[in-house]
Amino acid sequence: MSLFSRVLQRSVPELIRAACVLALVGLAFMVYSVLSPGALPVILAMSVGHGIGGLAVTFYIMAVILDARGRPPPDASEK
Amino acid sequence: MAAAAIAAAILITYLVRKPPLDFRVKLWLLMGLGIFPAVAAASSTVTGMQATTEREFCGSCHVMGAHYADTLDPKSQSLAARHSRNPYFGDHSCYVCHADYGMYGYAMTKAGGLRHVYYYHWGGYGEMTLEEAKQKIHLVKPYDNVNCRQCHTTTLHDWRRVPDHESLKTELESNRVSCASAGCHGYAHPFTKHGASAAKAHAERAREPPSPVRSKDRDR
Repeated sequence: MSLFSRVLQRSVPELIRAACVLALVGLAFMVYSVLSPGALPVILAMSVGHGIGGLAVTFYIMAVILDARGRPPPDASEK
Repeated sequence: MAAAAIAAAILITYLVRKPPLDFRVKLWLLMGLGIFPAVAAASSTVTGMQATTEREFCGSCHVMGAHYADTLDPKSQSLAARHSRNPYFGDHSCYVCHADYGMYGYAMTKAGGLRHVYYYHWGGYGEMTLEEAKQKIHLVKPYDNVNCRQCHTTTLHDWRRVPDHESLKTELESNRVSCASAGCHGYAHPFTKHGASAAKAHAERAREPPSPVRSKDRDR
């Protein structure tokens, strides 16, 4: 099973939570590069930080699309 | 920073409260995951790129310590130090002189900077002593006179009346002779040159009283 398929198997709240955590990690890279503008922090912010942020947005968009397509809600424990 | 803080506040609030995913929450998440992080990413990129053009940033790697110290020395008469005292170069003197110019100059300069980072962390520069660095680290390609000519246009009378300039015009344009060479305007960083003549020239320049403008520098 591909990574994409595995991500699609996740429930909407799980995807949103993953997106939130990923975005926080990406933001941490960016903020660190501003506070400590050394070579590696700047490079990491502009590569890893932006990459993680992009992945977070992708997860969010996937979650919204899955939600809009009437995907059955996750089981009660998710709420 | 403010955008990152607002985005983080929205995301942490969502993670803690876990509200049902209605339209209002989706909009908030769009702000927290899309809009504010995009602003934070753009501003951190601009800030980071700006920081990489500062002299202090270049001097933050220990192998550039001698270069950095020389630019800060008010008595140094090296080409780099004299230019660093010029307010038009100032805190960005390394970048202004070493940046590539032209359509893709900025991108090419930053790509070259990535190579420096690679060499520093994985290519052995990081383990070098300062003395080793002064001996072993060199420009990857000959210094381009075009960089000098960004300011020194070489079209004014003061420049053209110097016989050496006129006789070497072709060589200067084709980079076969560097403006920053012994016998011309001197090495930019003479302490990295290890010939006896270079050391002597550097010592002589260091003894010279600083003059605000030399005749051969008035060639803009």
